[in-house]
Amino acid sequence: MNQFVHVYKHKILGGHLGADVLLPVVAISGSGSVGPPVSTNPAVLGDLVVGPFVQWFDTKLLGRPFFQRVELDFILPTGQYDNKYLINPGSNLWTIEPYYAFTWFLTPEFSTSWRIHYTYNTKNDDPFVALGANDLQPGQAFHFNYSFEYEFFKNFRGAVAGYYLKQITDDDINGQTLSNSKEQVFAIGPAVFWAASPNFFLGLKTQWESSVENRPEGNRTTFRMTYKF
Amino acid sequence: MRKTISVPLLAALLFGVAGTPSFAFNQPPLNLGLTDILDGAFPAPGPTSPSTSRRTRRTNSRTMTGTPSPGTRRSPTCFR
Repeated sequence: MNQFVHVYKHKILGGHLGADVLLPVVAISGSGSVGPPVSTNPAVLGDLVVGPFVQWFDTKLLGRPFFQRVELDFILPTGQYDNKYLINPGSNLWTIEPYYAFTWFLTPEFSTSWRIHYTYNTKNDDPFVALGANDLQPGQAFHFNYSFEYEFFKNFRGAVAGYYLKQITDDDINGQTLSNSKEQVFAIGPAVFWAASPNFFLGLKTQWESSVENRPEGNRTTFRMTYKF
Repeated sequence: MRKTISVPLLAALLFGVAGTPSFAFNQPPLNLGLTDILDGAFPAPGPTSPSTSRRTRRTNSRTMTGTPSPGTRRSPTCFR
């Protein structure tokens, strides 16, 4: 997944304007025997994510440093998609995702970070052909990422981190509400973060899911490198 | 309606679509745990280039009540 973030010096409402662009590249493999034959699109390009944001660096909460950001993300249906495949890199619909993120330093060593999203999806008017539907619309959702971080050594932080998703409206199929289709998932796991230099950061984490409803359950492991030009 | 499509739906859900590839009858790729540590504090003004690799492995599918879906244990894997 390739991402480019630019924080401008120009300010609005006391915060710095910025822009965020993200392009996922995926490789999919899988097998199964339930329902229609499992087919995965071999294409690799996912949906482009773009969003303007405002980032505040110099605020305080209860006298402690408090960094915060609001962003309005748009997930564009630019990813590769073919309705003959069950699984595709692209979703063939638009998604609007405003979010609020913050990091609060309770002490110089201990901090907590949260990112809280609301998700609205438009219709996919070309769904998986085996479903025989004209259009599908995933319901609205609320989800957040959380992290409790501690600096064990200089520039090295360990954390307990995870996420929670709660779909708040049912999916629609052919304009009709599909009852009991709301998804839910909670995840937690360890994470580490190393500021290798003032301009280069590394992160590694793994998270296990639980309390899952209407969706698959599993594990995600993520490695992240960030370079500040 | 729900009953007639639930089997293909669950088969699709099995493949770990959120945050990775997408099946239309599910949430699209979302930021589920992709960013967390110090997430509220982007680096100082200027350009930044984060690069993220994620492996998602699905081993089970859950129904609306949270119980395992019968016959759906698989080992799908996704990289991005």
